[in-house]
Amino acid sequence: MRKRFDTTAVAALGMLSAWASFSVLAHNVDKADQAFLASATGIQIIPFIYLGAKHMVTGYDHLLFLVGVIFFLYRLKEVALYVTLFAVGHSLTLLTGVLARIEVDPYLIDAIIGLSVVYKAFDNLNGFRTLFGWQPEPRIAVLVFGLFHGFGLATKLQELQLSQEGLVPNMLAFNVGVEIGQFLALGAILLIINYWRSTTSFLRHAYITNVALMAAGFALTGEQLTGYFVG
Amino acid sequence: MLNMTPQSVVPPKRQLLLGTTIAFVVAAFVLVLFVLPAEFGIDPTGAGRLLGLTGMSGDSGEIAAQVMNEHERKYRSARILIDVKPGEELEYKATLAAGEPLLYSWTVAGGPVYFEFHGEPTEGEWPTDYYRSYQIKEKSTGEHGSFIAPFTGRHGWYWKNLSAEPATITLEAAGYYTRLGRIE
Repeated sequence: MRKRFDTTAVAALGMLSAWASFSVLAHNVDKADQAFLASATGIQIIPFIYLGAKHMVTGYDHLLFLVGVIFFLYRLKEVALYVTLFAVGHSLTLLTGVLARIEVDPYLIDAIIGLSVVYKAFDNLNGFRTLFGWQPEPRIAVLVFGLFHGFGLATKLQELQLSQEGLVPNMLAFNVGVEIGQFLALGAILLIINYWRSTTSFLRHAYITNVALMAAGFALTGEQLTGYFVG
Repeated sequence: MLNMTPQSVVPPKRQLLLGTTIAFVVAAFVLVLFVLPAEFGIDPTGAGRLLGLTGMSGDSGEIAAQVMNEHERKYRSARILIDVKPGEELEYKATLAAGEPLLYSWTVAGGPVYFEFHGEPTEGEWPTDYYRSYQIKEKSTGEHGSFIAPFTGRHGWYWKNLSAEPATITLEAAGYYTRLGRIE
């Protein structure tokens, strides 16, 4: 059997370096948006929906996790189930986190999100069964990682000193935006992956792709942990 | 239930461990060589400095370069009284290097005056007679503010006394200018 790691490996490396250069953008609400959020008073439904969607579409750590999650989900029903679990998870902690003013160090949360990417890629390689003879229930895992993701979001939103006036509707709007953004991102990922699945290269490259995903997850975790200890 | 679609690929244990190790090592390399220097200014191998990646982060002492501008000598300041005859126009400018600030304050006894705060470069490639206008007011009796030179050159005010009486402008300025005075 001929091994054809070349193009995929190059693509994976390209992805990694692109990731490195966009790193600053990860999960940060950018400066202009921050200024808007800090000065916004009263109910601002559409702007908050937009910010939520933007956060999700540009949050590549989240997108990497989604790629891992749906990598081997062939049926739309399954995709819908997993994504719903994830959405329920992060909505719960986003809303309760902001309302109860729970703040967790965002570096730690993002490190956990990085680990979630590693976990999912490792799981896609059947790693848990092969090494430990046991596999964590993937539905529960996706829900739990969803909870962590929501905490990270809640913490970052609280750092912005949001106005108390209209807080709940604005938060709900932001959350709706997050789901819309997730839906859009997922659509794009599904299109690409489905096309890729229709070619014979999919299974042949599934191994190296998940290894690359793991590498990205490790790097993300390392960066966030460094930030936690240094920043 | 027979499931025809795979939920995972099943590499043998050896390949799984190899892949995981490779992923870890690649991540460590990318982190140490690129991400840590660029994001945190941590550069154990020196690769970040070679690649020009250190100094991209606002942390690790680089912040000083963004908010401070140290000088060897004390700044200069001046208080100048400028008499302007009715209808007369004249210019006073400070010569500043790019990035240098100027604190200014001027008031008019008499007047009002028309003014244009503007600057013209003295270094570098520019179109002939290029100048940049910062602010124009048709009628003013005084302005206060701070300014940061966008390019190396002479920056200051064109004034015209609009009244039928003589006016006196009191100009106070402070900064690291090399010259402050009337432009003939």
